[in-house]
Amino acid sequence: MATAALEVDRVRKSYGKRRAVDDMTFDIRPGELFGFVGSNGAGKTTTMRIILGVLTPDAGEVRWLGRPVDFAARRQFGYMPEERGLYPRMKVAEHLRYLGELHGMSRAGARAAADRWIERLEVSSYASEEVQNLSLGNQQRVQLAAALVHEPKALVLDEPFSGLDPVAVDVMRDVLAERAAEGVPVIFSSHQLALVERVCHRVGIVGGGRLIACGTVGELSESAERRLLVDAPEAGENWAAGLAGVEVLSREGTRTRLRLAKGADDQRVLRAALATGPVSTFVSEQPPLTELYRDLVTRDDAASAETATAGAKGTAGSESEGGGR
Amino acid sequence: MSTAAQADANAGSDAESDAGGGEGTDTAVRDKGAPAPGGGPSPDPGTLSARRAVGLVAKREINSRMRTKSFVLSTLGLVLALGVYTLIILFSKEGPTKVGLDRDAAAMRPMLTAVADRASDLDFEFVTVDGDRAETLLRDGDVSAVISGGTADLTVTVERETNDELLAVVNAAVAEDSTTRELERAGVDPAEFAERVASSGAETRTLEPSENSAAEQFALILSSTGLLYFFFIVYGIMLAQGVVEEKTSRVVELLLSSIRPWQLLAGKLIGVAVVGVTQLVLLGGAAVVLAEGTGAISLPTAVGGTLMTMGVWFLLGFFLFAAMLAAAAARVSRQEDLQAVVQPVMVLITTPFVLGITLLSKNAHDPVIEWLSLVPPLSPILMPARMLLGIAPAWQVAVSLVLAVAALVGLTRVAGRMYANSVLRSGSRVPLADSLRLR
Repeated sequence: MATAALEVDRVRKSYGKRRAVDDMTFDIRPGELFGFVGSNGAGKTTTMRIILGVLTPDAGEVRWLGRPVDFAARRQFGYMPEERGLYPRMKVAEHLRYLGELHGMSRAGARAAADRWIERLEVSSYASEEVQNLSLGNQQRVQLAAALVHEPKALVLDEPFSGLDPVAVDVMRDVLAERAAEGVPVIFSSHQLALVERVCHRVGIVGGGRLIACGTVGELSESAERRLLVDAPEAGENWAAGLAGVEVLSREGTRTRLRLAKGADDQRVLRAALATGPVSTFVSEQPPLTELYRDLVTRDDAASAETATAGAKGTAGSESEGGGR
Repeated sequence: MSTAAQADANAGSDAESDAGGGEGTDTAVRDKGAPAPGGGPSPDPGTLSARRAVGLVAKREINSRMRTKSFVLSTLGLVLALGVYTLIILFSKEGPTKVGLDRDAAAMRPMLTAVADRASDLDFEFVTVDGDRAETLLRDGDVSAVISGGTADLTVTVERETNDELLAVVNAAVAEDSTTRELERAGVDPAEFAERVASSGAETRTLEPSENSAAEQFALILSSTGLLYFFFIVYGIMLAQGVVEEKTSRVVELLLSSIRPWQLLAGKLIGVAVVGVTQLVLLGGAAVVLAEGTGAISLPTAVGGTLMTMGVWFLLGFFLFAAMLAAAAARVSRQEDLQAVVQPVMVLITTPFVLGITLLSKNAHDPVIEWLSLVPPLSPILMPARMLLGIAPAWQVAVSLVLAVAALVGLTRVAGRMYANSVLRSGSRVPLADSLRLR
């Protein structure tokens, strides 16, 4: 496994008595798309702002290629703030050129990069418009261009997909995937879990300022309860009742959806089903990220007293207590 | 994450840890040796010198401000106001006042003309009119007064109000006429007498001659202090609003991931100052052209020097006040909150203006004002006014300049620190103690 490019190590940040971010630890590898999900106020934006140096953490540190992030390192990052950040009265192309030049590009280089990204993100027809005259979706494309114009070595994007139409989502997704393919680590936050599941290599789920789970969607689902879909046409209403660690979620006709607690044996379920007659379907379903997320976040809320870093794995140097494995 | 919660949360946070105060050279030590992860994107964005960073910011400020309609319109508006002012002065200087003389009074004409010519600022034209038509001529406005009768029973007829100047001329002429006649009767040569009278008056000796009359002095005080005050306020607030705009739009977070806070602040200060000086020069130039071209206003002898004086003091004062305004403005994230934080700085700009107008116009040589004009932040408004009046000795000018520059150096450091401490902290107002804190 490749070494981490960007590491967030035990970062803590309090506002008054409230812990906004608490012992946040994860890393992003070169060429990885890392999805950052979590409820409102969970600490995603604060973490990203700490990575960018907009905020200083109370404790812990952020490392880039093994060294604490300093101003020089941060100049190589591309950043898209949550509230967006462009001069409303500046023209699109001019603005991108300006940001490119501020990042040390030559005038010609900045011009070429600005033109390239304007075209790539399909905002050519607005190049000489003022930013404020663009629709919010198009402003967001320009905002992404602003994060990309200086060829950053890492991308930190706060909610890049929010408020975009489906076409724009595709454009944005392609661009991010393309950057990652070139070796750039990309971290972005989003509430569109289906999208995150489709796009990201790994997902970090944040709750209450801590990382409650981190890994590929597959890894995460292993740690959660498994689901089974069983179609046993001749089975009675309560065929699965009494099986240890098995909960019936729903019945549609002859199909039964079951949830298996951790450690429960699916073969026992199969035997119980076969006992009723033929079994036409027996499928182990991977829960979608949406449900994993809901499970993890609610479980975390319930057990918030203990340090439930359930499922946090694959995180170099993490203090995971392995509760979820 | 909700914007409001985040904004509040940020209130208690720090600004960029290694920001501020530092020299630009540290941007040059960026990690060139670090391999791009996984083969990484190709061109490495070059290093950025501090000078180029400041220059880029300044250029953006200049472009974004000079190209706006409001800049063009306000400049044109001010030039137009100057033009209107000149026109009013021109029109208020009408042609010669026509005064009618009837047949009896016509004999007085040489004497009247001689008296009127002696006073340079009077311009009367004496024409002979038909005494019977006097009333009609007055009502039609063809003449503004009609003088009738001989020396013994001279009458001045006017439509509504007597012209005091005309009356003085007429009285002087009558008196001179009778004096001449009495002298001739006594056997004295009137010409010789007049010469002796003229040479016997008291001679005035002025210790500190002032170039201008009292009225002109007041106009100079008002226009110089007023103009500087106007520019400090307008451009200071323009800068403060720009600082808040960057915070509101969060663009400052993008900017400060590539340049240092002091570079951003310096660039903004220089950019706005260039715009201010440009407008000042445009206005000053237009004023000089109008004044010279029309002869409407008499300017102090060295116009170029005056503009230079104003320019130097504008820059000194602007950097002094604007740095404070920017530091104060960096504490808030919304334009609505700007008023409250810049208020104390505004008092610092307004006080010298009010003091200057009242004290200088009362007595320009007041020792209190001499001392006050030496110390910043009063000097940028008071000293140029005294210099324009020609009553500031060179040593005082030198002292005030040195003190202003010293204050500027000290203040920009404090202002730079306040700016760097506050500008990334969005949300509620940054406490003054936090923004002043040393790091």
